[in-house]
Amino acid sequence: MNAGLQSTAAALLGAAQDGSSVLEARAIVRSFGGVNAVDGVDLQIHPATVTGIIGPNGAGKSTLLHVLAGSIHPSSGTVLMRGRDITRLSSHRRAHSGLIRTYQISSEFRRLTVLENLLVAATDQRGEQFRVLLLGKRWWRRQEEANVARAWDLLARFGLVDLANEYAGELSGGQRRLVEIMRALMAEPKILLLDEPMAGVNPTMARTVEGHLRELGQEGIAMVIVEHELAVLGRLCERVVVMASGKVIADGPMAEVRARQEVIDAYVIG
Amino acid sequence: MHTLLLSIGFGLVTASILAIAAVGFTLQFGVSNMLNLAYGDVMTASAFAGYLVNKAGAPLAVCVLAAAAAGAVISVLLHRYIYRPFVRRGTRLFGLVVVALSVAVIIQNALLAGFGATFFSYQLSPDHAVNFADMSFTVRQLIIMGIAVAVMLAINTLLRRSRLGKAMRATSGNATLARACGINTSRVIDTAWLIAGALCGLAGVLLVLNTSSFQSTTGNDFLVLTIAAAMLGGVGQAYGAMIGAVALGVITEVAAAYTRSSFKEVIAFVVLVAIVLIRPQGLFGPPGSTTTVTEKEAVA
Amino acid sequence: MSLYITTLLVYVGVDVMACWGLNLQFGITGINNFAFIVFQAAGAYTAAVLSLGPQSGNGGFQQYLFGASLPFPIPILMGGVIAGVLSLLIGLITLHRLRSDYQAMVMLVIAVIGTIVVENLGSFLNGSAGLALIPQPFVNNFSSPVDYQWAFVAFTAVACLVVYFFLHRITSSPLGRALRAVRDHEFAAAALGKDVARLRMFSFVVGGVLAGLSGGILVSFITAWSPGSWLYVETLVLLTAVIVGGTGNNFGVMLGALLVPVVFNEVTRYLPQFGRPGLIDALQWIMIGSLALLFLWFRPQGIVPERRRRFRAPDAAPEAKLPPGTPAAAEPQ
Repeated sequence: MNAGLQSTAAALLGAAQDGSSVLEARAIVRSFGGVNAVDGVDLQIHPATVTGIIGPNGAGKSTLLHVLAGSIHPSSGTVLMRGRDITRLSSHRRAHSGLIRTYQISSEFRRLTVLENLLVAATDQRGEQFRVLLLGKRWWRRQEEANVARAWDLLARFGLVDLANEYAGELSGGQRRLVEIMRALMAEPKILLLDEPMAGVNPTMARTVEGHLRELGQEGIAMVIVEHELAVLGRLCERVVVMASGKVIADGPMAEVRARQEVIDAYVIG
Repeated sequence: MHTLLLSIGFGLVTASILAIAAVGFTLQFGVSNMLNLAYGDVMTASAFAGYLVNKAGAPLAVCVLAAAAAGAVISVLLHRYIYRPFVRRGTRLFGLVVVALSVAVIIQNALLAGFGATFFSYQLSPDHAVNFADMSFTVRQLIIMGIAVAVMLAINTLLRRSRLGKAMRATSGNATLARACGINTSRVIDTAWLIAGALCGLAGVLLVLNTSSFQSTTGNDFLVLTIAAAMLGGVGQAYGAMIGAVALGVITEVAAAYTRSSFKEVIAFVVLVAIVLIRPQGLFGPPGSTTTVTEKEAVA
Repeated sequence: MSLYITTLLVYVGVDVMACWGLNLQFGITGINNFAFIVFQAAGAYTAAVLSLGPQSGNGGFQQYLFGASLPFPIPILMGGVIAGVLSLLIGLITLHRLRSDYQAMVMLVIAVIGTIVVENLGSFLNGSAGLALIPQPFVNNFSSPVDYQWAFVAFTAVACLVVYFFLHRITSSPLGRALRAVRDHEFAAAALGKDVARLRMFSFVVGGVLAGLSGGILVSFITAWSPGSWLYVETLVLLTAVIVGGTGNNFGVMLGALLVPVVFNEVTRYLPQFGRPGLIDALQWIMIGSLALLFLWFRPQGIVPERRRRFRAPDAAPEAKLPPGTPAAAEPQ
């Protein structure tokens, strides 16, 4: 990493001990051709929490996630990470600062093996710098070996050691979903944004994924999960945010939120 | 001043042809999200079709129709038997561009092999000049401009008022959504290619009527201008293409009159670079539509 | 006869080097560069101009800018440098603003315009006549032309070897892996912290430098260069070679560079002249285009596909000789 990124990362990962939010959306509006997909959303994500975002189709959940992740810029509003304005920060810089996201549609690197998929995610690889390559392999070999070891550990943890040398594009849907989660973990996220992690995954595999996500939540990573399945979110998340028509209509523990009239209405209509 | 008006006059004629070409190009792109780099060569092929009909002694109007029909047929065949299978198979955008380029090279060289490397022209009855206000046009040029205006009006009616037009706009905007609303996107796309192909053929024959002779590379040479006009207006935006064509047609002719005529393409290129740097989505394209963030895959 | 063979070999070497550059851009990083041939041309013109000496020296029958008579191998190396600089400029304009199909379109237009500009600006690089009588490097060291030709072939081979090892260092490293990730899914790569724009620019410039070097070497042997040598469709020949040989695999690409340009150009030499002039050329192009389409459809990975990088699982036993996770010996890429 160059000096500029290093200081950014240091500033962002420095302890925010006062319980303030680790990620915050303020007055986010995002319009597409006249329609406000996200229509004025305020949201605070706290460290070591698991927050679910749910809502009917078109509620703006994915768009909000894109804005938080940096793949889309909001039409207005700000995104803050530990108090620092990152609204205009590109997604790769956000990743450097510990904000990692997964995709709803499989986004594995198809022509790389599973292990290579994980290795790509390792941060600050000296072997990715041209001047280091010119100097020779011994300047990056040790780091690479450490990354490879960590990748094998992850594979073992998720039970996919046998697939290490398979092309990621040849796996089943559920396996690819796991690869994506492992990849996100390999990047050592401080904040993990998951866009419909269960989409298109069969029920058995979904339970496996859910179990892994629960473990992650217990490890202190701040997680934001966009999901359709109320039941899944209920099991995983202490806090659920309900969106409809681009706005947040309810925010609190699942039991409480579920009983709210606005939420029931939104689901019936939307 | 006289040069300026004269060149504006030429510019309007070029703009007319360019408008038809650019609208066709942009319609194909809008609905399929892929750049048909073979477009220029389909124009040439259509011009040759018209030439054959002309040699057989048919009147000019029939030649023009034959060319438009040839353009339509070739475009539909290309779409159905080459582009669509690749898209359906999951070929990424960058692979599709190579496919399009290969097709372009094949068509151009097939024409070269079939007709030879010489220049060709249509046998036409003599043309008369008409003068208005210091600008001089031939009757044929006036007809070309008239056809262009008629075509633009027809496209406008199609897009704004017909059901097909609305379906095309919906498919261009978001094919998945269009399908969810019950639109048969496959058929819409096929029809769009048919119409765009007809425009391509029409532009091809008008292009060669306006120049004294043509060869196997003529259409492809015009592709640079077509792309620039489409990008200026916003690729996928039919109205943008019309306006881009007028602007570019006039600018290139005027600039070429004052520098050198072979620089027309260079000027188009300069315009293209300026667009890319200043406003990549063109005059009417939605902001951000050309960046990688919104990259969609091709649709078939 | 020996001139024929040595010319063929030099062309092979030059095409291989150029295809490796194109492979880095297209096969490994997923960048469409339809203007690739322009960078080779830039290298060739630079090497030519820096060998020809000042324009007045030859009696002024050729017009060009910045003549100089620099010793070997500076003109060739400068060819690489200038091509690299040109890549940087063009890359800055197109690479990180535009999605891949727009980029492809703009590159194609650049290639078309490139020839038009050079043809029309006569005093820049002698217009459509091109440059000729370019002095050959190190020719005075050899008494016979045959010896010189073979020495040049050896030089080309050595240059290719150097390039091969240089590229291997890149492709077998984490950088190569990051480039492939950008090719496969650039958004996911960005979401994992890869600076996609910088990575693409890297490939674009390095590929451009290789194109320029190949042009410099070629022009130093054939001693002439004109817009006819670098029409925009020539990029398609190189691209077809990469596709046929095996995108992403430098060994495969070498094979492709051997088969496609050479076989096509040489096979027609032995056919009797039939049909009108230019017919055979046209048929050649039709075959190139068809070959590209056939391979893209039936065997997109090429004859020699990209090698899979396998890793050996860590041994459970503590006294294992290899530290856990040591990568298996990487196969040549």
